[in-house]
Amino acid sequence: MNLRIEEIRYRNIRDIGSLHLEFTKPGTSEPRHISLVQMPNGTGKTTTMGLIRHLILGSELDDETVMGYEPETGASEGKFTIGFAAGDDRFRIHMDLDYDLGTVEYRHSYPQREDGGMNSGHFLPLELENILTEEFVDLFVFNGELTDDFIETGENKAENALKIVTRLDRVEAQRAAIERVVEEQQKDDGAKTEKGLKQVKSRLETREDRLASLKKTRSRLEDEISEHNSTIESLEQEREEIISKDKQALKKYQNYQEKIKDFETTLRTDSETLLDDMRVPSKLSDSFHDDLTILLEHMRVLRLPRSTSKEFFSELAEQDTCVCGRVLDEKHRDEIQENAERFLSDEDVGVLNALKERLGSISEPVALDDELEELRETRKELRKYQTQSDQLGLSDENLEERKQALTRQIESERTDHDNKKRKVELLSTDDKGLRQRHNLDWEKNIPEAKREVTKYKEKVEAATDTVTFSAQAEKLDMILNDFVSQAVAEVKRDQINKTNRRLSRILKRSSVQIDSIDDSINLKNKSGSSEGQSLAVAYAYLSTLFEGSAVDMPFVIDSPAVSLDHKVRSEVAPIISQLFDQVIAFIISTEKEGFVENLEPATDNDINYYTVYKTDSPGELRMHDDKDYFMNFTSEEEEEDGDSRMQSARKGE
Amino acid sequence: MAFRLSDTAREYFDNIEDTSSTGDFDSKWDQYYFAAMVGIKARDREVTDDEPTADPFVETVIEDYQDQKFEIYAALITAEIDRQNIPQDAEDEIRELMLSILDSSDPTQLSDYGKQLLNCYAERGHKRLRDAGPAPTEFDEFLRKYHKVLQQA
Repeated sequence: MNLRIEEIRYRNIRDIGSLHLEFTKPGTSEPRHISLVQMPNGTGKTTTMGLIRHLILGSELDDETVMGYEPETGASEGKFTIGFAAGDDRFRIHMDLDYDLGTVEYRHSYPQREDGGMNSGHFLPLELENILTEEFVDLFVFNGELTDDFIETGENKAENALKIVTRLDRVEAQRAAIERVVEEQQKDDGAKTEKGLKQVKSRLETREDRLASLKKTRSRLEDEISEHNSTIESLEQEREEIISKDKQALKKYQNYQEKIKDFETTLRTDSETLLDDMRVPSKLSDSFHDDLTILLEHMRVLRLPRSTSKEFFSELAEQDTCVCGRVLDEKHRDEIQENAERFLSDEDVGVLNALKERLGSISEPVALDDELEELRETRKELRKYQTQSDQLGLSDENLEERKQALTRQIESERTDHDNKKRKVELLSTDDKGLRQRHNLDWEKNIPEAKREVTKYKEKVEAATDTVTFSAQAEKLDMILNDFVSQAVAEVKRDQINKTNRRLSRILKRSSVQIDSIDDSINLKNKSGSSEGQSLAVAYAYLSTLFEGSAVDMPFVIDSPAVSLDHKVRSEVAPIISQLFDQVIAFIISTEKEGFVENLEPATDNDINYYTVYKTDSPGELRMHDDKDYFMNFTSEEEEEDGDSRMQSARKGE
Repeated sequence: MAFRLSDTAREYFDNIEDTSSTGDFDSKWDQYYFAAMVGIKARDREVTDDEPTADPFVETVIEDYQDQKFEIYAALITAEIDRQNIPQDAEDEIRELMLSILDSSDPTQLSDYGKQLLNCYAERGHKRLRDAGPAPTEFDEFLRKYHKVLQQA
């Protein structure tokens, strides 16, 4: 695709009130090969170059930058437009600058199309969209004073330009992106290396081993508890058998056991019944009953809650008439609204009514003293029979001795049983309070150990993923690195050959050749080459680059010959004109000599000669497109001082 | 906001549960209620800054206490009226206190502040029980001891 710039329009940009530059042949849409725009320093060359870059890229600009374009004479809005030709298609990009708000807005239009009116937003043909990066645009909207940066400076401008045009810079950007993604993943998931993963795995194993060990312990304890139960049962049976040998004692024993069982049942039932009563505050204590009765009385006396709710009055305040039929005016409404605040909302009324309702139906206090006294008596009886049962003596001394031994053994078994049961509970409990009280961490408690195992399984999984991901990313990075290195080497070889052929053709006998590209361009026999030859190399290098790119771009250059002496200008001028199909050069009057007359366009009349200068009226510019005027124009200050930023143009004769 | 029992309170009641062979609490709510009512009766509670920080044992009022929950809240309100020395005829102040303790939008009908107060009464109530001696080993003994402590509160 050939991209050409057909025109640039300015309105209220710095000192340029209004300006229209066309880069086509008069009456046609065919672009001029070369367009020279002579502008004294301070007229707007650098501003124009910057705006062209922004417009092509559709850059977002901050308010300071936007307001920097505002004319000193003041204006609310400014506009910068470029008309492009892309093959046979025409499109314009408009940059609307709002100096009041400090904003920029892009629009685009299609002059050829019937419906080509203004469209919002930036636009580039699809083929250009992904190519025109900031770095790429800098290569064809070019600052001539930076040409030196390409040759043997050790800077990487030449190699970077090659990467940009071949789009290998995108691959490098991908490498940086991979590194970033890996870093993020590592940050999230901890383990970065195989060593880190091994550590996490080792911690998981420790926890799994501990969990298995705790489960084993619990299982052993449960077995032992079961054994204790069997043993206790068997010992009790044995004791009963011994007792049964003493018939009188047996009878007593059986009687005690029955009593004990009965009293235990009574205690359980009575406690449960009592608990039911005690759960109700009004039954629990006379004191609570009195409190609740008094509170209900207060609520009645204080008329809490009011039977009319706040909502009633709020709604009333919006009516024309009161419920009594009286007409309500604004003053009444305000008063009703104000007083409504003293009433409760429907919800508040509801909850207070629920409270009041419950207080109206409270139970009478229960005679807990009597019931508790019964409990006490039952407990006393139970203890008595337990003691009698334990102390039941046998008439045969041997049997009694044996029975006492069994009783001690049973007690011992029970103690062991209870201790183990307690241990099982501590091993198994998921009650946080209990765990805290007994300092039960994952090494002592099964649910905690399970949680630790789950946590570390997830960690291992995440760390495994990260380590695998890192390894894969590293491999991909190596592949991309190899690819870029090989591709750059190949492209460099091709670029050197093509540029050298071009240099031979242009410079003929005085040709200089590129030896290598090592970041910047290294010349063969550098000491023997002139400054003009070096510049020729830089421009030839650039034009070859564009030749190899997917799109053929215009070459827009600022100050192409300002730093060159006349001899060098005469060498460089024909080169520039031969290397690019469209050249737009912004120049000052002092760089014309030796440069302009040596430009070699395809045909004699294929050059536009614009002269733009300020008049004495602020914001007013004058523009001439006459070659003689162009050639004769001088700027006094530029004559005196090439770096002068002040401009004082006078009409050339 | 939810109902909370401190670890020491839980330990006191757990000891009874662990040893009793003749009856037991049916739920943590039983333990919480018994503790809270001692504090309320004594008009004695922790300051709200010292509310127990242990994990809540439950967010709601369980079925066993649904019918009488307003009695508990009313007892809480009367305790606070006394603690704050609100005159019995101060309609606005009593209404304001009631509405700060109750909350129609909460499933329990008790506001966060109300729950916080109840937690503070329960904490103080359990301390009064603990001060009366070690936790009984049987449930019926606890009921008798509780009644005694409540009467003295």
